[in-house]
Amino acid sequence: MKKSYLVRLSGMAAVFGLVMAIGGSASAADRPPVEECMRCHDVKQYQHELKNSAHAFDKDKKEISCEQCHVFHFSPLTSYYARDKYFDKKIFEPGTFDRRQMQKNARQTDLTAKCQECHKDLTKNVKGEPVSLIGSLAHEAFLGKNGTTRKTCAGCHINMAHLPDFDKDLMINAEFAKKLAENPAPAAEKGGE
Amino acid sequence: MKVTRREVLKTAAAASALAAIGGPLTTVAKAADNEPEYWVKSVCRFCGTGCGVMVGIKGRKVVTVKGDPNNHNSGFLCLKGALMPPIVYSKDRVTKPYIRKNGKLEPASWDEAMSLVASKFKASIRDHGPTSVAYYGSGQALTEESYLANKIWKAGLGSNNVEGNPRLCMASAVGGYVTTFGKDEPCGSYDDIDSATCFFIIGSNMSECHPILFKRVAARKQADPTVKVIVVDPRKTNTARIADEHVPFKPGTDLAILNSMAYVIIQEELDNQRFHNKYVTFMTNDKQKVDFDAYMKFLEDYTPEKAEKISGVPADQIRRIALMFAEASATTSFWCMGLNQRIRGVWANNLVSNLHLLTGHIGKTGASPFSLTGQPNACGGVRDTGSLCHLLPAGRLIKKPEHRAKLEEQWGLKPGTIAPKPGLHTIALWNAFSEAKVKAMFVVCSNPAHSLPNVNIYLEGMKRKDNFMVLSEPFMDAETVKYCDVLLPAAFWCEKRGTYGCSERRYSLLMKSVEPMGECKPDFDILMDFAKRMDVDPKVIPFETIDDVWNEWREVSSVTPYNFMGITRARMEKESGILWPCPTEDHPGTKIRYVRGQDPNIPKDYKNKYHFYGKKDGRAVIWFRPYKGAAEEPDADYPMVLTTGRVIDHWHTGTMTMKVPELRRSFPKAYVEVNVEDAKAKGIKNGDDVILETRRDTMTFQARVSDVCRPGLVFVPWYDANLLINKLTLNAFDKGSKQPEYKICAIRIKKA
Amino acid sequence: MKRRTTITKTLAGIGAAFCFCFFATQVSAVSVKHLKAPDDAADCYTCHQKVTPRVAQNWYESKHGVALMKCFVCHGQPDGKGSIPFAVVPDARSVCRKCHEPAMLRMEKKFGIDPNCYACHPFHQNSMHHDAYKKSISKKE
Repeated sequence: MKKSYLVRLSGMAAVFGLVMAIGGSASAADRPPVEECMRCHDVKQYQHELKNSAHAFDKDKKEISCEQCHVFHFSPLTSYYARDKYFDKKIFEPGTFDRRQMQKNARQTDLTAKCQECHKDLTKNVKGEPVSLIGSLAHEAFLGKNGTTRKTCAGCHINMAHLPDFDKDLMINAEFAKKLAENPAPAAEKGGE
Repeated sequence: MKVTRREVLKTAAAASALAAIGGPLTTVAKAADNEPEYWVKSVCRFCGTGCGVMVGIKGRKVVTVKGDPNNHNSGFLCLKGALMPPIVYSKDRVTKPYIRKNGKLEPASWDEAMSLVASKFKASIRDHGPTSVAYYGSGQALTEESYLANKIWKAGLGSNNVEGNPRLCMASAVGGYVTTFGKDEPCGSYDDIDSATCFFIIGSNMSECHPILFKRVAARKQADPTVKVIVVDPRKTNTARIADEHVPFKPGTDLAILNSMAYVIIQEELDNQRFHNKYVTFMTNDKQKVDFDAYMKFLEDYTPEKAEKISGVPADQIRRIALMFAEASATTSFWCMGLNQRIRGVWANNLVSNLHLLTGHIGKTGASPFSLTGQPNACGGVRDTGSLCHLLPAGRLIKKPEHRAKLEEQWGLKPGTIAPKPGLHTIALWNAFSEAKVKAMFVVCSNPAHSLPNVNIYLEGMKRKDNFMVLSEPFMDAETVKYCDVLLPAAFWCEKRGTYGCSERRYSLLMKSVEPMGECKPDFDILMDFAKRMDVDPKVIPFETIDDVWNEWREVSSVTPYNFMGITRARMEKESGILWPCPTEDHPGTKIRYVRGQDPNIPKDYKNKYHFYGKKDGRAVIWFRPYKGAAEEPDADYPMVLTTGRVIDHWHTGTMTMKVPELRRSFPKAYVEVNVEDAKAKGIKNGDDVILETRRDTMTFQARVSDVCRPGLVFVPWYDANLLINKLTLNAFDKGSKQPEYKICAIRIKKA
Repeated sequence: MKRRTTITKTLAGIGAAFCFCFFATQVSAVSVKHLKAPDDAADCYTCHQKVTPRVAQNWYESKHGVALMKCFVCHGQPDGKGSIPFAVVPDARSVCRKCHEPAMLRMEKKFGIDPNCYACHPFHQNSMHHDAYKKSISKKE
């Protein structure tokens, strides 16, 4: 009894999904991805940080956008519901973000595939220069050839595109923090921690 | 409701402590395995700080160390000191004697080895006279060993060729103190650190070379942030981290800065007229006594603006540091190799003392010109016992007949036993050895094939077949082992008993903790055996044990201002170090010299408070030392400056520290430190291979690009035996002290 | 409310204790999560200021950092080949004692025997490594 209910539900979802996917992707393609994200996520602060980070541009001087690193989620079900109720309403407000938790999640989430779209060759950096000895050893470890260590890129490479306040004091982020301080975000859009 | 991180940690720790009692925790269990059965008092084997250590023994083996709470270090150790035990049990220990046969070191018996040594030395003396044999000792040998060797050579064999690595390290400081005060050794103590209000650190990377003293300075600065720290160093080292003023000058121009500081001090009326009127003689460079006005006139060449042109230090900064120095209530200066290893080393030493004599920052708690030593027993072992070619024990000079006569009398030898002509100083000695003019050399506790400057020429000399070198050394991988003709297995550090005397005139006893490894013998036994085989007059070596040597040395010192008659063995076993002068057993030791009521050499009812008894008129000397550049200034062909030095993880030639896995891994090989600007100009990136070229040799090092060196300067640490930076350094030396200029030579670099 | 706090605290404590035990057993097998590096790769700090920047910086700004008491003096080597056993949490009786025995004895006299210095002086935290010369910037929370 229960099983048949589930089957029916998933069938419905599939139909919904198909419809929404066609419609949704069509409308998403009209706008730049950043803007698409911004309809629901008020991420101006993050965008501002990104613009001042080492990941502002790719090697062809093209601006890097959210979905190049983050998983571009498009769940037909939630989106349908969300669009109906919250469309263009910025449901995720900066003040509600727990950036510490987010950072922890990000370090534990495997975004490797996304990173490797640009960083394919782990022996070289994106400019084609060979990485340092430590870097190559760590990358070998990442590939499972040399000891056991963190299995995600963000495990070692943190604050690559965003810089929460609590990481601004780290010496390794000095340059990033300086750049952010020199180009402050517009006051109204200053986000939470 | 919110649990803070601290609370979590606390609860976690408590819980884990419970767990530790309940379950088998490997970390805890392992540590308990190494719980020593008992502790033996000793002194750290590394730098001149001379920290007291307690050696933890279990099952007749050294298992751990801890700081001696009763010594000056109050129980603290630096990272090298804390990791000493593995060195003792290194697989590279020399455990039996070796003789070189057909170019290879072959194991031999003690008797074979020592007979060969004696026959070679005897033949050399027979064919070429006593000056054809030499002793090359060390600031790491025990006091008794240096004293004994000195006596065997100078009184027994008739050769004044007694030298040692302190010539490469401390000679300019000796020259500086003797010319300024008439007597060697600092007048203050480490305790001055706790009450100084200004620290003037010049030519010293204290943080890495004397970590425990730096820790004390840092703690002082932390306790009272108004305490000023001035660091004068072309490199922005870790020492500069706590500095209020870091002065990165052009290498070699510090003489101009020091004179300029004196100029500012006088211009600002901050000199202590009452002090220098009464206790100071002003003397020109050619030893003419002049007055204060002449000094002011001399200093006109060193206005801050003129000094800025020479040194590249802004005139304002020179003014600021001069004011800091003079306005503080008590200023202590520290310097080390940066001033000593220079062709103007003695002058640089004089100029720092000048500032103290001018301002009266001397002879009171917290104020003293303090020269730091690099080796654990350079002061106590070599400077005090006079184990250098021109010295006799307790500050006496070979060239003075009355000094020789007095010592011959004390030693009970017939007059004229000691040859009147000083021997060859280190560079001259090794030159002579390389030309086989000196035929036989006894090297103890030193690694000259690594540490001599411009070492290539000496390596060639050591390879010759017509000279003979015997080496007493604990480690098989020391560079000099490759060149010696006989290798003797020396007992190491805690395997023998004896005295170390550190920078602050403090004598501490190293008690024997464990039996020597294999066939190793203490250098005392080796030297005694050698002397007997050389048929040295038994009156010269009336010693059964090493304590007999100490007692004789106490007697010899007792008629001199050194006087450590009161530092008996019994007292040394009980106490953790005593500062000389210490004339009687109830004397607590002397923290401040040249001051009535403090220094036992000055009568209690002496008319003046200060008395510089090293000088006939009781006055210390302010010397007019002009600025003169380095021996090899950078030019169009070699436009940059090379300087060498240490890293905290390694000590000297690395034969000891390389045995500790942690230390070896921390700095496994030498590198070249290049300034960011220079690196950019030459296209050098971090980790690139860089070719270093001087007029003497060419070598390749890996680059570390940073802002530590000032532009135009490169730095290479000298511990690495595989990358002997001394192949590039210069063997020009100070005419007064005969100490070579390791710190500056001209170089060019390029990317490999 | 108060009760809940206590429960949370205790739970956190037990959790942390488990972590500790887990680590301890890990250590015994010398299977620490660490890459294998040749001797000449770098010292601990060079890598760890990147991968664990806060811990590394806390050390750097601490008294131990100013005095250059480096990581390996207390922690040993992660592959267990050092001269002291590798430990994420160093053993106070054998490690801290080398330098701090006088203080440890003083504390013991005052508060009884507690071999865990870090119960009150957590590593890389203010009380043990407090700010050497200025308010350390890495420690504001």
